[in-house]
Amino acid sequence: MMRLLTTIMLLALLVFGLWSWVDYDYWLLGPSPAHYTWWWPEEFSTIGQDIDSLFYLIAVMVAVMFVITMGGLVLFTWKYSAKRQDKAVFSHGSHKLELLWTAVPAGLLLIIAFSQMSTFAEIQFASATQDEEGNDLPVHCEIWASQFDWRFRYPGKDGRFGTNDDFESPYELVLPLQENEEGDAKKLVFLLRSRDVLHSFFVPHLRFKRDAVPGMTQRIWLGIDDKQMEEVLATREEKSFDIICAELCGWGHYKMSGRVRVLPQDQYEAWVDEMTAQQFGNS
Amino acid sequence: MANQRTLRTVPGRHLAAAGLLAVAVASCDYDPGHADLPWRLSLNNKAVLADAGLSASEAQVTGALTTLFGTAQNPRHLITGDMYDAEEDPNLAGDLELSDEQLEAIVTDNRVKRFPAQLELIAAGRFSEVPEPLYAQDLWAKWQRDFAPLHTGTPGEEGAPAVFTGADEAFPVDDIWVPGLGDEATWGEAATALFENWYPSLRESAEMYRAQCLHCHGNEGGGDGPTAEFLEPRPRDYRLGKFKWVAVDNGKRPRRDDLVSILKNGAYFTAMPSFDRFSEGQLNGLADYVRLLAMRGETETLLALEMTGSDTGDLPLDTVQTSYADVWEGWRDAEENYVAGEVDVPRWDGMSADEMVRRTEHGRELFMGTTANCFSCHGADGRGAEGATLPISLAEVVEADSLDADYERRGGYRWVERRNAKGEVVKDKADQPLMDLYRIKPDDWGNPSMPRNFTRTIFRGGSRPIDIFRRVKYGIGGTIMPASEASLTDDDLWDIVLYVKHLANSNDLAREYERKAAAAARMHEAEHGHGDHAEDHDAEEASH
Ligand SMILES: [Cu+2]
Repeated sequence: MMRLLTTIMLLALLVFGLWSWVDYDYWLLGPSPAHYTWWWPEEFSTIGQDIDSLFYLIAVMVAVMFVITMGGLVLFTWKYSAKRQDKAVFSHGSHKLELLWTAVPAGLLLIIAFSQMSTFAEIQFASATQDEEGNDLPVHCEIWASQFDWRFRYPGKDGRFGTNDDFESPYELVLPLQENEEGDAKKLVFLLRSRDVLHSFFVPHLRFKRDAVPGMTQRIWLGIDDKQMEEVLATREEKSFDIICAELCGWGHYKMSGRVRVLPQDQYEAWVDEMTAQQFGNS
Repeated sequence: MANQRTLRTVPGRHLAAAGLLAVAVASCDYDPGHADLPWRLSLNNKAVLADAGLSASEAQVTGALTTLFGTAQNPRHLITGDMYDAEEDPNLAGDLELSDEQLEAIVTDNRVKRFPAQLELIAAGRFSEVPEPLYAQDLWAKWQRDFAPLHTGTPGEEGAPAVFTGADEAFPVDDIWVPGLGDEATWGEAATALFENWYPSLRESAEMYRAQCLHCHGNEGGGDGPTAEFLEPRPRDYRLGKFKWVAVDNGKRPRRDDLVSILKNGAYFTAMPSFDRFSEGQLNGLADYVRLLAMRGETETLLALEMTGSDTGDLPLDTVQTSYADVWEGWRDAEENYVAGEVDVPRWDGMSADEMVRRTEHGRELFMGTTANCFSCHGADGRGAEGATLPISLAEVVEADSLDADYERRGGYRWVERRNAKGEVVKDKADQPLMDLYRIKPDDWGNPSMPRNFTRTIFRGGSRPIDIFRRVKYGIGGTIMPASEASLTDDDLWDIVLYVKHLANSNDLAREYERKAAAAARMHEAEHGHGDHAEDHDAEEASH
């Protein structure tokens, strides 16, 4: 009885795990919105493709390993149940087998390590937010994480922080669509910091995620692919994109949201004008 | 044999497993039970009544409050006599058991807010004349998107174009749906509903309050929700009717827009987040409910004091009415106390460097002078309660006005229930040890006064010059921050604001970061000469 029960439970776990893997967002969130792909919403970041392929590579590896290990567990639970009362056998184990299950995971880990290196460097290295001469690119805005909201501080028209025309935008991160001389998406650089505890700034549609660490100022960057964005926008009613906190940061973690709005250059400038007028307004 | 016991031999193991499973299943459907919570009297007022030996009369106060404000599940305002204004909004919650007169007399606002002009024109079929409301931009956008394109001219008039001509494809998409499309009456109905439903009823707002706000601000708005204890600063206790970040004269009741603005922007460096994800109508409704809780709390305190003042320990009807009218008075006048547009904000960005230095220096002199006296609380370095030394005046304040019994009576302390060593529930003063330790005078809510640290860059009530100017000129209600001395001109005050901004700006962390980066670059240059920086920077970063 116990044998049957345990095996069925493990089998159920295996099936459930696989099912959730295949149909991840369905059982968690219901039917996917049109702009969703398999696991993720569609993206319009310049590095989104790289991140997605890494994600799916790892997801497939994990799924295969999951089936093998869970399948083994189910099989052995059934086959070697205590009911059989077999006599114990002394064994030195199999050298070949041990080599196999050391080498295969090591190989898989190496595949992951090598395949992510260039993307990691592109996102994370200091040179990612520097120009060719090694000078820091100007900061678009400062992202403050705090329990429990996001606040975006812009340097204002003079482009410098610590002047009286700096303005704040609570909740809403507004970004311009900009191109550099070669016609590629211009990098937008942000300073990310946290006021209190660990948070994680996450914009799913931009595959843009970084932990905000108290006491640390991080330079992070983002590139927006405008053509891809148009395609994504065409599939959805909502014209802005969610920001969430992806690090459990306290009891109000669920409240910690925001939104991203991307504007063409001229509209963005109009928005800055409006915010500057408000900054010096008396309403 | 005892060492051979296995799980199989444990008696009652099936029962235990079943029990665990039951607990697990039950906790999936956890309901904190807020929906049925009744409003209770504040611990302060209970203490006031108990001190006068009137604990038995608590029911009278509760009864009077229920008559005036309904229940937490059916909140409302009862308006009597000349308070009633037919123009204003009957924000009805639904199936209230009230007389017709009472129903007629329920309003929620001190200004017209339910779009009477728009509704009248829609009812008359004069859709094209519907004017833009003073607020509710989201509503107006919806109107223009889904309704206004549908017609030209005045419908119903002889020879005028039909209402829906050539606009079928532009017809409402999401939450507005008009069945039948072609009929002017149903269309008018939908248009009416659009304007009427923009504002949630008080009951809907109360539900939203329970979901979003209660866990900090408490069921009665006493700032004593379950999560309040973990917060510094403490959540606002509405029951004093005082709010800090407002655009009205010192200590006056806030306008609804003041409350909405805090809901929208949040109060940075506190646990109050931005609720911008909700619609304008929902935020306005929430502000209305917050105001109802504030009025209820104020009335409650007045009633408790009236009761202890009387010989009989009774609460006559006219006392209830006058107390209630007193409370209403302050909120009705909120709009008149609005101080917007009182001054022009100087455009510092266009100022010459010399002038800037001169004015900042003047601001510093005032900041450190004895007339404005800013330094005595905020410290010479502008770091306030977070400075290295306790600002002088805080210690002085305690000696001069030392936490007297009268202060206690006025509800200056926040009472909390604690368990003592014996496990009994006792009444205690919140934060008292902290205040004794630092010898800091409490503010009106019973929290220790913490003069602001200006070097934090972002200000709680807004970082715009006008926000800081209002704090300097009108003070901050409920705190030891006073309104400015009459001898200081607006120009003087602006110079102080400029200096405060200077303190914030010169400690701006982003600027600090730029400075550090520049210094690092210079050092790098000195050490390595003019080489290829990019690669070296990477190496540096990696070694950290
Ligand atoms: Cu967070």
